[in-house]
Amino acid sequence: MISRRFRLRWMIPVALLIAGIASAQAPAPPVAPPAAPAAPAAAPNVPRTLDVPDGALVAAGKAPELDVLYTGDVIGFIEPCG
Amino acid sequence: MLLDTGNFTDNPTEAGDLRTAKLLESMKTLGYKAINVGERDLNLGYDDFKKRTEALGLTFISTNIVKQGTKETVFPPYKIVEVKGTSGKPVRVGVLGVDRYSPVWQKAGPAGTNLGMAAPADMIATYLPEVRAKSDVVVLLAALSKDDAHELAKRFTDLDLVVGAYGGIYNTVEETEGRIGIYYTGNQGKRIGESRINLDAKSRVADVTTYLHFLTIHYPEDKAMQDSIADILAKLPKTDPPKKAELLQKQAEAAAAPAAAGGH
Repeated sequence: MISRRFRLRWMIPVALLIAGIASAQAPAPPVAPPAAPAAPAAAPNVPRTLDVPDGALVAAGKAPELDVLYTGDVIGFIEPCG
Repeated sequence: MLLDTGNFTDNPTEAGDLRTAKLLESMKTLGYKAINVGERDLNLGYDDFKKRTEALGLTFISTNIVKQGTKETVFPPYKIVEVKGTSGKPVRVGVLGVDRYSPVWQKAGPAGTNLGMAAPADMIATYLPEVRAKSDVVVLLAALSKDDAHELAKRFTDLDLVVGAYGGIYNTVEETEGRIGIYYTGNQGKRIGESRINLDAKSRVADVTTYLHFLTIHYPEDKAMQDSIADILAKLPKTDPPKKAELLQKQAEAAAAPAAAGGH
């Protein structure tokens, strides 16, 4: 009869040996490919300013099909107001 | 094409009446195509308004000023303006105009009636389908808060553009609700909005580019207009306390914030 102590005495080294062989035969974990360059962060959704570009009085560019101009709440102001 | 969202009327004083009359005459000269009637334009009632405006030949509209207790408008509820596009093709622009809803607003109307203010959404819902059917571009003139304008644009997606004025609020950057641009120009004629619109092959709005011009001294004066206004200013009573107080306050504000100073 094989004693329990005897079994442990042999099983542990054998188990370690098997594990060592198995790990040696296992394919190496794939090497991660070099990280692709990070995509540029999406531009924040900044609304376009309504200022006329370059401080011009009238915006440059091709004439549109329709140009709508509008005012409101003028409340009688016809003179310089400061 | 020039449009105005209304509330062009000065205080009902001798000087205020002269200013308002001159302003309307100048709007006629400049060729405004449609003007929304604002609340303060009716401060003295419908008959007074007609007396001040009927000889001018300007087009005043209101989609939601009604005979009190009805949905019957007292001004044309919209205007279809046909203009020649840059390509030479005609462009039909449908213009509606609304004021802020007030269930208690009431003014003297025509022939002994009273005027009331209907809910803008109800009245737009009534007229927008026929305006859309007749127009390539539909513009809503809005004399109400910008939040209300957004609500209307959210609901009425057949609009193309909402332009408004409500106190001193004005846009500095583009603002949209869905595809509909919403632009406010402030008050006192200091700023003028410009929306450049291109159409697609089906004559529907393809793109809109908007600018807000702050009319500082960098913008050249028109000599004829300047002379004409100088004439009326010379006729103003020497004292006009409400206006003078406003001007003094503005001068004080401008002095306190020189970087933001400008004139028109």
